Amino acid sequence: MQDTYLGALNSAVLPAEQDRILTLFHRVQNARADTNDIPPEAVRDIARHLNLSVAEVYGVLSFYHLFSVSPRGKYVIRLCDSLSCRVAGSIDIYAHLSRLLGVKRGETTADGLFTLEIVNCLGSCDTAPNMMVNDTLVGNLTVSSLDDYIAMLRKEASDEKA
Amino acid sequence: MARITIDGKKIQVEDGTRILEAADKAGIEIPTLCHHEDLTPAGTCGMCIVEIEGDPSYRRACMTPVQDGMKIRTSTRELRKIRRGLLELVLSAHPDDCLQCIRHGNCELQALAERFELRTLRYDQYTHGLPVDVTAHGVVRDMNKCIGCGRCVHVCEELQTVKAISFYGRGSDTIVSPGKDTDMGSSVCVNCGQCVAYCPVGALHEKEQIDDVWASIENPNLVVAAQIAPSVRVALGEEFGMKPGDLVIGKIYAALRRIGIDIVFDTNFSADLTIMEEGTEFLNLVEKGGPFPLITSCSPGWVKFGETYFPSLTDHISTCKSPQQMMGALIKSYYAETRGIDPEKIVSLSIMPCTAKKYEARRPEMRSSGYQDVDYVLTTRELARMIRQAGIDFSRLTEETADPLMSDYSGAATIFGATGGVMEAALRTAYELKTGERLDHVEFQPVRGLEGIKEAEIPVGGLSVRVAVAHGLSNARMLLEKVADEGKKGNSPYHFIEIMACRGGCIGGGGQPIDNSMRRREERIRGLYREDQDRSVRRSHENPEIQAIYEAYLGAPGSERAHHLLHTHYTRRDPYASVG
Amino acid sequence: MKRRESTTYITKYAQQNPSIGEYVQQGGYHGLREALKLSPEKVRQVVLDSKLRGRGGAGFPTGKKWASLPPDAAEQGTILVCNADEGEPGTFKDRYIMERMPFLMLEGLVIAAYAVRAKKIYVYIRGEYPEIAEQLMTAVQAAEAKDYLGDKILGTDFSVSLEIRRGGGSYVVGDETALLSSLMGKRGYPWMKPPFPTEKGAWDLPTVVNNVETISCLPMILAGGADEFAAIGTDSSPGPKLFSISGAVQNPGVYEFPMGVTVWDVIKSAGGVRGNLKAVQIGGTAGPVYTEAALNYRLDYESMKKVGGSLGSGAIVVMDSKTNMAGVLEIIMRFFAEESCGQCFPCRYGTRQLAYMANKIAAGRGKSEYIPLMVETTEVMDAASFCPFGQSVSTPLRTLLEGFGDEIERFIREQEYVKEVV
Repeated sequence: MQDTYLGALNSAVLPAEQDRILTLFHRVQNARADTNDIPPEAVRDIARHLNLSVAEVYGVLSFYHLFSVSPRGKYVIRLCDSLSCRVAGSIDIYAHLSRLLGVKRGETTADGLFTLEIVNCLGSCDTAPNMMVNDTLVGNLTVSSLDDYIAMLRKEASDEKA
Repeated sequence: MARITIDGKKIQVEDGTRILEAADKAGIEIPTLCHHEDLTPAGTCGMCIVEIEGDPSYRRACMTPVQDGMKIRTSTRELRKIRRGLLELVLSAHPDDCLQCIRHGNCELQALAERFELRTLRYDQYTHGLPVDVTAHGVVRDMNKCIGCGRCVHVCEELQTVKAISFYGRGSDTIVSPGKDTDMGSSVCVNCGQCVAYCPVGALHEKEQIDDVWASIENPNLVVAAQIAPSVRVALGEEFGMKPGDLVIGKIYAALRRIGIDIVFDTNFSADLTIMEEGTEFLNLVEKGGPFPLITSCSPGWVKFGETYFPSLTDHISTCKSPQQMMGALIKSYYAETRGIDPEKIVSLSIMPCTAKKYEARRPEMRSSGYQDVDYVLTTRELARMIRQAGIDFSRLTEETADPLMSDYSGAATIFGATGGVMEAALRTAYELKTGERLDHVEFQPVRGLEGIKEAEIPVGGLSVRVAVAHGLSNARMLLEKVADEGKKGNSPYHFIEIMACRGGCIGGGGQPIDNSMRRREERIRGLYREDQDRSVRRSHENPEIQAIYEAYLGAPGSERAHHLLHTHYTRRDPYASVG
Repeated sequence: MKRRESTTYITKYAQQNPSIGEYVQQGGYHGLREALKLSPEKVRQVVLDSKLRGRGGAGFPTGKKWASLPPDAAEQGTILVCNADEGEPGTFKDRYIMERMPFLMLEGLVIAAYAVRAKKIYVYIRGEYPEIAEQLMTAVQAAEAKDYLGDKILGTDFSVSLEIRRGGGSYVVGDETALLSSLMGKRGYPWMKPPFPTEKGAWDLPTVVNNVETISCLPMILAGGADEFAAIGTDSSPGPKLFSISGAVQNPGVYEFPMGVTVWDVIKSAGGVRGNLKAVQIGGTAGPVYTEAALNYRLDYESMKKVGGSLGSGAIVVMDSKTNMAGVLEIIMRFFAEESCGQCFPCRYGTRQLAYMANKIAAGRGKSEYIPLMVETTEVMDAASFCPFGQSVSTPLRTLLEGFGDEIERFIREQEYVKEVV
């Protein structure tokens, strides 16, 4: 983990390295592919690296909702429930997804595969209803496209294990 | 100069004056909540908004500078409605337990609610529902009461640069926290309590030990011996309608006895003792030619700060304990032996302006007597509560004197509570011991005053002693960064450094009466220097009880017994160490 | 002055898989070449003369913003920041630009950097656009390889470097000063203006913050001239505008029109309404929610102001008769509560209470006192909020109550519930 995120950081042309902090958060979280989180050890490493206090780093981390201090699933599903997606049927999508995975918003499945989050606008309202799964935008959701997509992810996860 | 009209009154103020201060000049008190005269305005609360003619928006009086010709209205029907609505919103997120709250009667939110006659709350109420953090010895953090004004974060980050707490979360979930995986007790918090000093409500407060002290007093098998810090004697009166700086030590001794304290000593005695030990330590260094600087060690907030952020300088911190801890060790040794009391039956209590002293008393190495040298520390505020609980009318008490053995003190001791006081006291003794000459004037003006870092050069014998005094940990940090940098090059710009965690010195400690503003601190400092002037003995080495304790018990400064009882060691701390 | 009707000044560059070669072939980088022939002062003058207004939401004249830089800004080290934080619900035009015509944006950025004498460009892109950030990175490398960016651009002495910075997820950092807080690696709190960022911005340096779409207008202004640009659209809102339209329309998407087009025209372009039109929200979540009366409204800054709203990002969300307006109220109030930065009291406490009451209403547990209390709450927020975020909540609330108050009150009376509340 150390090498993954503290590796090559370009030296900034401008003063203050604190501005690297969001980049570091993304890197740590992306490196932790199974839990998509930023654990306490990483927070402390980042604090030491940036010469900030632990409280300061947590302060920045906790402000931005893409990051999590607690472990999440391998696939973080961010389902949009802003106006356009609501008009396009986000509620039915949520209901189906919730049933399919067996979790409510904010929860992670028992097998540690999926975390279901409800988010605000993902900026692709013409493909509503939308969700993001980790870094991928998945739009034009229907009940059946959801089933297919989740099945695909499950297969990907079990293939990886093998 | 800017000529403005405020609520119909025409006044003239300096360019750049903010509306809030201009209004104050005009005798108008614009309501504020997040604002504090000592802190840079942040504009978080919005209470101080005012109407400016020609401006479509309301503006925050705390942040907006006046302009020539401005016409301001501070209190219109609309503004009163807005302010009440705003208060209502704040109160709807605040617990309903004023009667149980430590700040009941001295709370800025309460005061505003009263001022605006908030009789009903139309919103449904909620709180964070978080457990209260009691893990630190000095400071308790109750986020359910936090209103989010940000003063504590500003103080900890900017004034103290400890950075133990920051905002955590976003929106209405925002709290103040040392971090997700940690609590105050395991954070870098140094317990200085400056956050407490500025908190407008009961979200940050001292950890009370009043009940424990009552239990000890009421236990007939125990002997309770108390010591009182210099800073308490010029501040406790504020809790009873007297002025900051009023010297009330005689009443304090009397009050302590009324409460049931068995033995009343004075920390000023051990302040004189500290000067003897530290002065000797310093002169020994001078003899050896270094290594310099020697840094004072009586501020436990500073000590933890130094251990955490300047580990390379811990070897430069004086091995002397603080006066509190010296006295504690001596109560359970010197006093116990002299009076033939079983130290196990002694409860050693100190009355301090300081929240960090509660932490200092619990440091594992503070057991030189064979017992915990200081059992309980009460802040000035806690003592006031005890006095009220006992039904004592403080201002009408007849003055008394303390108990002999460890209560006589010099003027040098009493100025410990002011920034520069320890340095001045040490110089009075060091000078006279080294040169054998008597000073004509014992006052050292260059180390006095509220400048963040003070420097002076004083000839002591053949040596030109370079001293520095810093108060407030941001100033300490600046000074020590310079020292550390120079140290790497093999230089030492100073021989002797005094550091106090709190601005103004101990009289601004986290346990002092609130209002604990710089204005108050200045008045308290004046009180201490006045007492110094009035005392017949003004040098630590001329304190007869000090001479007695060396003769009868300690031998000489730096003796083996002195080392055992009166000296300590430090622990380097990693600010990034994992918790648990 | 003739009002030109033709669109596609911007969208003509849209490609499925953008390549710099194709972009140049289409006429790309002509604007930059023209700009580099002029002095930076002259370029600034051209942009000022074009009367281009910022397309992020505030509509502030770009030339005026640039003109507020202090005379010694370049010596201090001006920074140009591209606001690609597109978080306004219903808005996806900046995504469209970055995905389909990144080189247009990059060209605009270099023009802007040249004009304001910036040595450094930061593109701050919202954290929810990771794939776009990567695509942009590729485009940046392609542009650098061909001397359209970086050292000694197109053989001149002008050099400017560009860095992409990803956000961490927060709507409020779309606000100029909050964005700069975030860029500096802090919590995304806005700060008080004045001083304005052009005077004292990131790291106290003169900083210009411009929206993606604003930047993307610059090539055509420099290529065709200020007058040509100003001739499109309306007098006070010139130029072409990308409208993001979504919701109950047949073909949601980004459509380019001159400023001043009617709402109905945009909806028509998008294939018309799907179902029966009930309501339209314009400008984003902080924008007004109108009844079908809005179909005739003109989409430019002045016209929208006249009908008590604001053009904002130019987002149009169409709601059909199936849409439950108590549910809409809940979505909007929840959005503000979740996205409030929490710095100031009126907003952090106000948005929470508003979301709470809206949720109660939508869940069939509303009280009639909630409506006037919600209105009063937004009055406090209008008066005392630290930044425009808190001040913008009253607009959707007021318009919802104006247009759909009966429906919402019926909900409260009959304790109906929006079964869809998540």
